[in-house]
Amino acid sequence: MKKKVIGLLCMLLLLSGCYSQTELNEMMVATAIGVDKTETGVNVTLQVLNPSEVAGGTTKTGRPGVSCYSETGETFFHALRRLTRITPRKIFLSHIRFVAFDEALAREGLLPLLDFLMRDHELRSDFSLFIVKEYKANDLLKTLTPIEQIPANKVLNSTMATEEFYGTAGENELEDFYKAFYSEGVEPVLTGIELLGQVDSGSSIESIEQTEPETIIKINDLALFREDQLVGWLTEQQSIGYGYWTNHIQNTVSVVSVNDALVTLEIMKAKVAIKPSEKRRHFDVTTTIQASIGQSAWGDVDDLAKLKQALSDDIKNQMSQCLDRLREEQIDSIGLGQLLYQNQPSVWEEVKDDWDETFQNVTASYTFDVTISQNGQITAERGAPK
Amino acid sequence: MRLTFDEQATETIIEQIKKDLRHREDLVIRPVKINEATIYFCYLTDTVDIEAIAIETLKQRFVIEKKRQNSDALYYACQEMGPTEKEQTPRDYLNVILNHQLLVVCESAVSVSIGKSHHRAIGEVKTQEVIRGPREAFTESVVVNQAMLRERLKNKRLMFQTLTLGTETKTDVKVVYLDGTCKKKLVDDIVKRLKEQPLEGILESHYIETLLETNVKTVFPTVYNTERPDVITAGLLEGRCAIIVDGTPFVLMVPALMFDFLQSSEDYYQRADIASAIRILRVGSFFVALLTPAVFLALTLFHQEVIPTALLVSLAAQREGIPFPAVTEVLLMEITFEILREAGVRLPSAVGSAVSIVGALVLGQAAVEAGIVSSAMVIIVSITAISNFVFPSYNLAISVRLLRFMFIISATLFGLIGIVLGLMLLAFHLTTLDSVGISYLSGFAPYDAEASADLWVRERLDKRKQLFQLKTVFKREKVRKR
Repeated sequence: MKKKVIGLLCMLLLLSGCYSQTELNEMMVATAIGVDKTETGVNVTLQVLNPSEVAGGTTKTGRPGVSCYSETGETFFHALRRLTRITPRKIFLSHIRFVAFDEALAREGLLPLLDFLMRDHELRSDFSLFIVKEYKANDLLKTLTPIEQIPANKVLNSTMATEEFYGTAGENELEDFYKAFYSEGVEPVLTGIELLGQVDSGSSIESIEQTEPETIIKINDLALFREDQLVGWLTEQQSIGYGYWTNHIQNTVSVVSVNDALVTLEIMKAKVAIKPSEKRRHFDVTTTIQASIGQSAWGDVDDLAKLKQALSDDIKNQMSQCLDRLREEQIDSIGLGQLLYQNQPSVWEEVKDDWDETFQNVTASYTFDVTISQNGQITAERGAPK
Repeated sequence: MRLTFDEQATETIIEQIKKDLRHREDLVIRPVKINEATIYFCYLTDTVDIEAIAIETLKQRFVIEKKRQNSDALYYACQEMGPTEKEQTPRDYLNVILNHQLLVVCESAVSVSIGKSHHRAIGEVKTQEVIRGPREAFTESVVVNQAMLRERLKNKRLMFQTLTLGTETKTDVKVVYLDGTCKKKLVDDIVKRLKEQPLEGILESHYIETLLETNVKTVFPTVYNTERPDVITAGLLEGRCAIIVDGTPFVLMVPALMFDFLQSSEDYYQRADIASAIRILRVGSFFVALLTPAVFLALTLFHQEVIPTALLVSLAAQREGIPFPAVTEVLLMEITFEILREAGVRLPSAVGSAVSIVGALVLGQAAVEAGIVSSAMVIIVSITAISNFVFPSYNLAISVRLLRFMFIISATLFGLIGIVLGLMLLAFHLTTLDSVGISYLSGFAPYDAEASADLWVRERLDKRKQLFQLKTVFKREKVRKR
């Protein structure tokens, strides 16, 4: 009797079948999603992998590594489900690298769209968000890239390289956006993407058969958001300034002019400490910079002090440019309000209700501590100017 | 002085033997005249060392003893030839002759152990090979094996308890233990168990292995077997009990714990740090051998999100055009490999190379090129198979082979949850097991700080309080009642 019961229970296990099981060759791995505004709703574009073209060790047919499918719908999710009518296999979203939106959608507000991305169980929340400047997200996804067979990877790698070596862009993931969105005294930003060249012909394989492809994907400057709505774009200098304010600069360059000669300095380390001062709406900003000379047309080593001064001025200029712009737009993207909240909660309680107006009048005083430690590999023997 | 002989008694015994063994063509009854008397030598052809039958010495001594009116004249006379014993009943006569001994009959009967043994010489180990360490292996002869153990353990406490088991085969079985180190209760229990169940015949030590197992419903071995005398010696010093069975070089040892099957004697013959690293590797390959195909299936069928994209793309590309579901692929390859392995063991060595060529080509290259299996699957099956050969003990290796299929099925049905479930069940199962009353995971569970230092890694021998640490564990744990 006992044996029979155990036997029956074992059979019960088999009844579950292979619930939610998917074979690898029954699914379609999406690498990126693009969402554009249409008159009736949204247009969703999927960039999916063509495994046998991308994987090593298989025979290639010369087709592109990715394919794109797009479909419209009333909402994001609706459009995505309508896509199944044209996709050859089940869509698998866990591996997406980024989601891109066009400017029109971003100006309307991203929250309704992000809701789906946050809610759906199949998505990992570690993908980045981008705003496509001028063009449609559909155009971005269709663009093929040389070297990287998966354009989504190219976008992400370029962003990471820009973040690491130049500082104008940031890899803003879904969770970062939500964090900034829900935190008091800080507003989100997203990295923008620009398309250069003949955008229409970037989707054909001929485009990447040339040394210079027809369409080039460029990681652009930062997009400013109020709540979830796009309000404007920072300039290149302002974006670097934003990096300093938020301590995101890992490495960048500054070009300064000293004694009528241009010197390019590599910023190796930048640390910005912001302290709300007793004077309300005023912040003391102390910046510690470690730089090295990257390129110089200037020979007088005695003028190191002057060089330091010039570098301080340049960074100060970038930071104040950024602050001025934000004050003008009345958006506290750099999180000064949050800083106030953390350091002087009582003051924050007073000003938080009309922080946007208060922010308009904030002032900052800058102090710099610059060290120029390395001259690079150049020596007198190797042609250093005397 | 004229000697008198009881011819009648002699005749009766001889008649009895002739009657009992009337169908045996190999029976030799050789009469030798001494004065008026006749002495009969009874034995089976080729079982007795004829050279050792010293007739002249026997004659002289027999006459001398007879003149002294010694009633046991034959007994004393025969002692010149070898170990002698007096035999009384017809049943004894029969046993002596069938046991390859010489029966000398004159008035009474006396057995002389001058049996000729047909055994191979001590050879090298075949199953648990080591790079450094003794190479001698046990042989099929219980006498030789006993001598080998005596050589290694020159200790008066080394005890051999002889049993004759098998109603038909009458096989010699010796229970070996170190008196005082091994629990007396354990020895008594083992002897009792062996005597309890009369088997018709014992051809290999496995026949009595089943008698020693407490848990029958398990795939895990709870009795250790080895042909290495050094392993048995170490076991005896730890307070274990060994059982030598005549006719097989594989000596049994109990209690046997889970970790014993993952350890090699060489662990103790190499530097501690290196031995530890190898031991960790072995535990690792236990899990590799057990879980690799299951984890691969679980990840590719249910949890594609945890596979790095580049790898996922590569795996997906390989699966393009494969006609079978992934689980069929795994089972196909695993079963093919099992067939090849079994064939490799049974085939005569002359055709062995043919199997390896066919195996390598058919299993590996051709199957992939024909698009029947993906190349990732070949890698998975190969690493699993190789890991399975890491275990020093063959019986654990077979258990793992079986369990692997269970994990493949549970992974196909439930993904990683199925694997975790399976591992939990496995853990529950292992904790309930015991070997002659000692918990199967002793040292680890129940935990013993001292003994556990020697489970996953190998401690330096000079750092130990006690060289043979399991001794305390065995002493402390009660022998469980069945």
